[in-house]
Formats: sequence, C-alpha cells, structure tokens
Amino acid sequence: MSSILQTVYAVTSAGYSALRNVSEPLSLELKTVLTLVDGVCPVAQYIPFLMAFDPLPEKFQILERMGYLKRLGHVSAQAMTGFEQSVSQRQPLSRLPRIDVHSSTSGFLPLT
Amino acid sequence: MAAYSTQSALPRKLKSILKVVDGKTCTEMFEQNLRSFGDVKAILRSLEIAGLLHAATEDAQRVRFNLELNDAEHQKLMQVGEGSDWAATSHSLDKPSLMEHVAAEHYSQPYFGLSGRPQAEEQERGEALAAIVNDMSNFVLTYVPEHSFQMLKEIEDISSLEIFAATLGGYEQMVAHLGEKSTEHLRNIKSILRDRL
Repeated sequence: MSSILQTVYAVTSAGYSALRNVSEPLSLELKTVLTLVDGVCPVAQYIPFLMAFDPLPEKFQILERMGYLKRLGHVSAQAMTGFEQSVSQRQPLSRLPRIDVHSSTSGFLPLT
Repeated sequence: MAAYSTQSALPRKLKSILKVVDGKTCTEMFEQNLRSFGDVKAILRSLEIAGLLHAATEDAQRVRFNLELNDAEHQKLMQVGEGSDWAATSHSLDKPSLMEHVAAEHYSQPYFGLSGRPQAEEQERGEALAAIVNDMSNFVLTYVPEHSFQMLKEIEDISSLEIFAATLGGYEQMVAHLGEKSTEHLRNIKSILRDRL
C-alpha cells in the first residue's frame, strides 16, 4: 500500500481551467500548490522545499478531492527510504538527489 | 546550484523561480511579475528556509533575495552566464523588450483602441486576457525559464486583448523553436483570443 508521500500527481484539465479562471474560489495557498505540480515529482519531494505550505500532503488531497489533481502513479517505498534518509541526515537540500520517476531505480508504478 | 543541476531534487517549477533570483530584484517586484505562481512571497520564504536563498538587503521592507552559493558554485554560474544569451538579456530592463524587438522585425500589426463596450463584455474580455496571461506565464516558466523574468514582465504588462494581438507575432517567434509544445500552447491562446476579439 503506497502512502500519499509516494504519490505522483498531475494537474487535470479542470485544474488548468481553475488556474486560468481568475474568479475561481481557490485560496491563494491552494492555487500556489496547484501551480507548482509538475506531474513528475512525488509529494515527498516537494515537502523540504515548501515548508511555508505545511501541511503540504493535506493540500494535495484537498486539490485531488476538488478534481484539480489526479494521481499518475507512485514511486517505490525503496526510493522513498533513500530520499527520506538523505533528508533526515540533514544533507544540504541543494544537493539532495531527485526521485526520478523515469528511472528504473525509482520503481515508478503508473496507475492504469 | 540546485536551480541548474539536472540531478537536484528541487521540483522543476521551483527551479524556474530560483533561476530568476538575482540579488537585485525585491520581493515586491517578484510578486508583481510572477503573479501567476500564486503566493510568491511564501515560495521565496520556503526556498529561504530550505537554504537555497538568503536575504540580501539592508532594507527589511524591500527584501531582496540572492542564491545561496559557495565561491566555486558562484564562479561556475558566472561562467555559464557569460556564454549564454540570457546573460545578455535577462536582467537588462532598460533595453527594448525582447518581444517588441522580435515583433517589430517580423510583424507590423495595428493597435486598436477600446471604446464603449458593455460592462459584461469588458469583464469577459478581462477574464479572457487573464487566462491568456496565465497560460503564457506558465508556459514561459516551464519551457524558457532562462528568459522568464524579462518575458514575464512583458506578459504581465499586456493590458488588453488588442495589445496582446499586436505582440502575439513576436511571442510566436520566441517560442517557435519549442516545436509541438509551443504549437499546442499557441493554438490554445489563439482560440481564446478569437472568441473575444
């Protein structure tokens, strides 16, 4: 069972419309998170770089419930462990290696 | 160097923001020019917490951020900049605008004035313009981040659909090299324009 942190999200067409529509009742915080989703990085990869948006996973879930984000798949628990170890060892974030969803080592499993 | 490293965990769109930080521009300016990102101040604050930026200012009211680099990284970045186009264009706001320049070379379209439209129509046109500006900003930040600061400033300055129509030719020229991605993007913004002009 994969966790929200392993999930890779992409913006839906409704999400793009919401970003274009200035009258859309989206909070500034949610709009910002929606803008930053790139369809490549799992949720865990955003967290160290978006501390001002804590709790971030909750915001992804809200946007998913609103229909603005969809799950593309998730990365493997093994890839997550490596990433989390790097973060917990207090490596400088500028040198933190990415969890590459296109690499076989990430174990990216697309949803079909 | 997280902004320029292909191996960095920094998500792509955050890299785009990091690339426009120059140590001279204050956060207010970023907020104005990068409006399509949403809460730019919070993003910059997050990048500062992550240790990728530091405040480089004497005035707390107009915070300027700079990249957190050691000497070797700074030197490497300068070398990259010297040989590239963006170094010559991206921070020189006094120069004629990139899009104006390209548009003047390839197009000469008339500028139409606004006159006496019903309020509802004006509002729809305003929303269409906001949609176009948002789309262009996202596209520029994603695919041409090296020119994003200069281009975003110009994009945010587009105040009417007519001005947008007049600069569209230059914009098309600037993103044409991106192939299919730009074709689809241009088709989208042109269809919004067609519906409202």
